[in-house]
Amino acid sequence: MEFEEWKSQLKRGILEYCILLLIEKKPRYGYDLISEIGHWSAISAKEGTVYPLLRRLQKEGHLIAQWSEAKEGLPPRKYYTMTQSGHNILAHMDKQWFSLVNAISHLHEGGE
Amino acid sequence: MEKEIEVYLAAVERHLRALGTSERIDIISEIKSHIQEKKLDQQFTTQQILSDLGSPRALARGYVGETVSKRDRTSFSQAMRLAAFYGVTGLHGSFVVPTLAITAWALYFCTGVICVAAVLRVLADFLHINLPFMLFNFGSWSPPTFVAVPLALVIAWLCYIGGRKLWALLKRYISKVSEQHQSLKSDE
Repeated sequence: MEFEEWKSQLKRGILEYCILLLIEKKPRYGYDLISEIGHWSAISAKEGTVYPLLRRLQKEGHLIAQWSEAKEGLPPRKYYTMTQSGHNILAHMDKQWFSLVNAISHLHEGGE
Repeated sequence: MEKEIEVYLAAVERHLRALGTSERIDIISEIKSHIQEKKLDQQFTTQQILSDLGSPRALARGYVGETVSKRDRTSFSQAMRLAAFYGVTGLHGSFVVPTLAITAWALYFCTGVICVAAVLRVLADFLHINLPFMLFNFGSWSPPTFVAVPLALVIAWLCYIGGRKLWALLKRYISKVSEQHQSLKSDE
């Protein structure tokens, strides 16, 4: 299934961008992020992909995490917040993303 | 907490043993929080939640192997190239290196022995001592001492040159191999 392979690579590349976009707006926890991106099949991702990714982004210093206490029957949550380095990389990603979209739309119109 | 969930988390933790304790605890707490959170939604059964998380092994590999698995393919081909290198080099190296080394040292040894013999022969003649075992024989020709000693010294000189040449060859061979080795290593 070549198309499936291509699709999963595309998704993998974009997931980081989606996660950062969501966390930029407000602090988020894992389940919240997974449900949010789960609304769109084009970007949905499994727990086994998202959680290790969040940990890596945290290790690379783009996110910081903070545990909130359990309250009103809710379990404790690990909230992710964006750091300055996260904002910087997101800005680069935005630029790259729009130039990509731009290029593809030019190709659709027949190039040049 | 349900038994099933406990068993699942314990299995994940076992597969995370490559990581430090505090990191492991943090990962397990996060997964546990995820399961509890998802259960609150009440649309999902425990089985469903756990199967979405994937097998404990696969989930743990996501954490442990985030970067390792990406390198796996290149390091495999790298390993194959190193294996080929050591295979070939080991094969001719195990012949070339000892042959050159032993021959070179044998020639040096001969040089020394011939020089010592020549000196002893001269001394013996000078002191009129008979040394029947110290002879210069070239086939059946046995020249007198005044011819034999210079001839022996020439031969000693030739042995010395031969030894040096072989030794230099050995050094060239080794540096060539180690150069190749370095270039292989730098590809890693």
